[in-house]
Amino acid sequence: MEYILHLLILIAIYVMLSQSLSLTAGYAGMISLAHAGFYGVGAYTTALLSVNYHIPFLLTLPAAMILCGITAVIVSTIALRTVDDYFIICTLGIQVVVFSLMNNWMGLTNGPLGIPGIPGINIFGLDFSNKILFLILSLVLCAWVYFILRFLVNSSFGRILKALSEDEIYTQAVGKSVYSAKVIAFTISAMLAAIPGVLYAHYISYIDPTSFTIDESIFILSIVIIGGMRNLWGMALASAFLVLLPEALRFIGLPNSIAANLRQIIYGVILVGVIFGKGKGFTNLKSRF
Amino acid sequence: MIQLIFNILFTFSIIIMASLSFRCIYYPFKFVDFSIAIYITLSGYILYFFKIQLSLPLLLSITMSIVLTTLFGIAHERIILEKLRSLKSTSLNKLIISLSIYIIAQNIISLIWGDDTKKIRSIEINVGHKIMGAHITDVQILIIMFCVCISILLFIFMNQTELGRYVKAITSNEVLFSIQGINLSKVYFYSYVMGSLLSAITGILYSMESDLKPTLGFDIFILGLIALIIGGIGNYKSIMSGALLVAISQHLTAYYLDSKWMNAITYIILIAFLIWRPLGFSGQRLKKIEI
Repeated sequence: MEYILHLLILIAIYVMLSQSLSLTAGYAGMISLAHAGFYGVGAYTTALLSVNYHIPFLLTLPAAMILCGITAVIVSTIALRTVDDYFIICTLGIQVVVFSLMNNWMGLTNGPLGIPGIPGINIFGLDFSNKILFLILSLVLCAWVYFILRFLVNSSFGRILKALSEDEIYTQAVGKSVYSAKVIAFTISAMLAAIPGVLYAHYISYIDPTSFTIDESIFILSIVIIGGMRNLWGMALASAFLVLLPEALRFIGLPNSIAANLRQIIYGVILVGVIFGKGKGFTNLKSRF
Repeated sequence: MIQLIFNILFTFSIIIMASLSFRCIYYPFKFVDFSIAIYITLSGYILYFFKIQLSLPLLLSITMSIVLTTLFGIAHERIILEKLRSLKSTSLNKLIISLSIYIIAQNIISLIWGDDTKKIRSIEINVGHKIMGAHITDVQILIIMFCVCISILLFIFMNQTELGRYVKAITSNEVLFSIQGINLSKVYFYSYVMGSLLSAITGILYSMESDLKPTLGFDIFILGLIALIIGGIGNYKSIMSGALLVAISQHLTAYYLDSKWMNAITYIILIAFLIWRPLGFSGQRLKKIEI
């Protein structure tokens, strides 16, 4: 039972990550490989604040989101001068810079040793170290992220994003500011990615840079692609599938070392299949039902 | 000091090889092909397989490695890229496909050979020649000479032969090119063969000198890509200057700061270039729209 709850919490974290990425990658058509970086910034902010200054969760969460937002504004004003594959390479660069800061800035982040002993979440005396309560908290935040995103993409702002992903010059020609829309989308997406980071840090109670590598970014991106780019429910399905996949592989008795590689091979194959199936992912399923 | 300059020269020649092989594919195909990273890794591991595991002679293993890697590249072009072209998919889709191919192949490699580092030192480690206080081994000199030769050959090929001119033509206007009645898919095919061949050679040259690990291709590939973006896709001179800048920044960082900051500094230079000189040294505009 504990184990199932653990998996459900992980799935909730990945649902939030992939849905927040879908705002940029899916709706605005800007594929970003820096998402694990923002996830990491969120996790490190809350870890450092709560370990060093004993600041409660209700304050570290907005602090992490604001810090991620500021980073994203700076980063995106730079990165969004480029388009398409140059943008991807640029975000890859940002991811590597963030990772080497986490890995090498010994004074602040304790380097590859990571930060142990992050306290559990405590809101107004209610202790969330119980897994069921933690799951409920993650689901509440998950729903919050979902409703924010749904509100955004159905608003006029969402329509600008969809339009610019089709044709930037045309969108600009009808009087919309493409550049600021992109920066805002990127920033919101990064701020929302801080939430799962905060949850992850408090949940695992130990973080180190290896959780926020480029592979993690690629993993989140593949959830978004498999989930169908603009289909928020599809992403929930896809993250459940990809999180449960290694467990299933372990269940059939493969040793851990093979299972890790095999899992990556499987999601690589699925990605290829999804792109060949006209790049719609789980949305295909939805239309069939 | 001399040692530092020599090290820069060595890294420079590896990066320039990676850049050139990347350019061979990027120029006509117009998408970032991550599968080059896998050709670099694969050729190193195949060389390891034949040379160390089967203990065949060196030249035979090198030939086998180049041939097999290029065949892999050809299969990729014929089966997947050709299909994608006929589906008229976007460059982002192609990029994601190549990234997934990279993930699949890299994991297969680490399944077969394991994640630990492997060594191919074809010639016993010797102190090497002492030139003005710097230690230089025969292999390193050979690698640098080889890179220079290949760069010159490629330059002549692209500018003097018919196929080279076709590649240039296809880059500037694909439709006009096909109206002339020349087989488009053939030109794509040959440029892909050239790209994968060059990256196979890069992998072999690199693995002769350094340790093998499943992610080595990605690291070299990214450096080559950065050099290409910094230099600009235009001409050879600008790619050379880009590669030189990357090599110098890597070694100076390792020398004055710490080797762990090497990648971060290189990326910061890349980002700086993307802000102030997005077209690189050469200033030649890509197909990209600029708003």
